[in-house]
Amino acid sequence: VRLARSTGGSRRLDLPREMAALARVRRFVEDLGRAGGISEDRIYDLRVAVSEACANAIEHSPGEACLEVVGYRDNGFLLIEVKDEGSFKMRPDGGSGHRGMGLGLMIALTDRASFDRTEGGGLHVTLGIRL
Amino acid sequence: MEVVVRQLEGHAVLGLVGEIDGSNVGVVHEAICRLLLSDPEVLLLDLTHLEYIDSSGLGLIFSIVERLPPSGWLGLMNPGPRTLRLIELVGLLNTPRCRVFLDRAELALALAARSQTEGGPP
Repeated sequence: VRLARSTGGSRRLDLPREMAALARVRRFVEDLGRAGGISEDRIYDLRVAVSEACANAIEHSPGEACLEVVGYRDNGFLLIEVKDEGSFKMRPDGGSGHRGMGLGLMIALTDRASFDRTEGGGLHVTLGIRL
Repeated sequence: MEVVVRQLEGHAVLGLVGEIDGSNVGVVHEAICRLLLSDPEVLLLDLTHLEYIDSSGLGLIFSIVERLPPSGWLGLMNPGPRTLRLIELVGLLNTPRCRVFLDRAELALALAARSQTEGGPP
């Protein structure tokens, strides 16, 4: 895992595309939230939302490349972008009938949630909470 | 993450400790499958030390409820405020046969009511 500070006050985490790495992205969000003076409850919300976005990417777009997770402040928000340059595909439900909750959690727990498909078929998810 | 199995008044209690996500939900699933082999009427999940649960874990809880016998129920014991909020958001609080117990007295009452009706007509 590479954790590098880049210009403009944004921070970036390159996350291996494996479920075992999810705990790392949750810590990354926690650190950013605390540095931003956000309440522990709201940090928890953002941790859940971002972890779900990463789990979705890991599940729906296999590949070798890391997920790029970037956190920064913008216009009164702490935003986390999960950039997946793989090719997002729907997968058949495994039969449990309880899939899809992740999307609901991402929307319910954040103040901003947006989904952008890239020209190459990737998916960028931006999740944010008000500062 | 750790799964600790114990008994409470003859009912199996599965204690979930730490963080549950897509990396380890399979371990919890296996432990639950073993407990469901004996067709329990009541299954209890102790969430006291659960620090984190994601959609895969919440989905697993829904699937446990579906696998219990029609007269059975799943008890979620002592979730913290953040876990409780997630449980509420995904609709587990409104799921028939899924009950949340915030303290021991509440659970003791439910188990006592259960043992009174046991063996009687449905």
